[in-house]
Amino acid sequence: MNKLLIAAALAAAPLAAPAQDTPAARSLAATCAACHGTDGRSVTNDVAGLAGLPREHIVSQMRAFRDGTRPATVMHQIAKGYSDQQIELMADYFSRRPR
Amino acid sequence: MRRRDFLKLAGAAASATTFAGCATPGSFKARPRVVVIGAGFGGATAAKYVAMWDPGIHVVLVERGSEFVSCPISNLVLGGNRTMADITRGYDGLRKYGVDVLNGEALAIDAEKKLVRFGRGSELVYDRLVLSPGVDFLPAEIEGYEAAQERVDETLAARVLGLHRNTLLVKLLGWGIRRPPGEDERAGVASG
Repeated sequence: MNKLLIAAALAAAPLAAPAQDTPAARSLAATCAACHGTDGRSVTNDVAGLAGLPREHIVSQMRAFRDGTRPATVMHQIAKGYSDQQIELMADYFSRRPR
Repeated sequence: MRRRDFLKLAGAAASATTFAGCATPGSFKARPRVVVIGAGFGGATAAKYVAMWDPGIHVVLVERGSEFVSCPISNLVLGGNRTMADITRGYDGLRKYGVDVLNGEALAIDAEKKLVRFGRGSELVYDRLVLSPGVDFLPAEIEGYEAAQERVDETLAARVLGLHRNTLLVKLLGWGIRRPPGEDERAGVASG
C-alpha cells in the first residue's frame, strides 16, 4: 500500500511541480506558434496541437521529420533547423503545457 | 517625454485605425515600446508573444491591411473546399492581448532617432523595432515574364482569388522552401 502511494506520488510529481521554463526553451517553443498555436494549443484541425504531448513523442517525431523517416509537407524542412538539444528543450516545454 | 512621442501615442493608444487627427495632445504613462512592422505570421506572432510575456511593454503592430489572408491552406480555396472567408482573419484577437494594432503604412525608419515615419508627418518612437514586412513580387527578375505578361496572372493573390485567365506562370524559387504552398503544389492544384 505504502509502495503504491509512493509510486503514485512519484508519477504525479512532474505535474505537481513543473520544472522552471528557461528563456531559451520558451523562445524556442515560440517559433512553433505561428502554425501550432500559442503555447502549442492549435486553433485549427489542419495543424496538430503540441501542448501536453509526451516529451519523448515530440522528440522522436522531430527526429523522424529531420531524417526523413516520417513524410511531411513542411516539417521535414523545419526540423532540420534544430539540434537534438533544442528539440529536447522544446519537447520538454510543450509536454508540460496544458492542452 | 519627447513631444513627438505623445503625438503618435494619441493615435495608437486611442486605438484609432488611422493617423488622421492623431495630433490630439494627451498625457500617458511612459512604457518601453516595441514596434512591429507587418502583421503577417511573423509580425503578428512576435507582437502577441512580446505582449503576452511582458504586459509592461507597449506593443504597437503596424499593418497597412485591415485583415490577414493565410497563404497556407489557400490551395483548398482553389480546390473549392474552403472559401476566402475561411482563411481570412481580423486583428481583434491581438487587441485582447493589449497589442495596439495601427492601420497604416510605415514609409521610413530613422534608426538613429529610433522612430518610424508615416505619411502626413506622423512618427512613432520605439525602443525596439521588429521588421516583418513579408515578401514582395519582383516579376522583372523572371526571364520572359514581360513578354508573357498578357497571358499570366500577375500575383499569387490573383491566383487565389480566381483563375480568370488561361495561363498560369509559376516561378520555381528553388528547393528547401519551408512553408506551404510550394510553387509546384500550387501549379498542380491550379491545373488540376
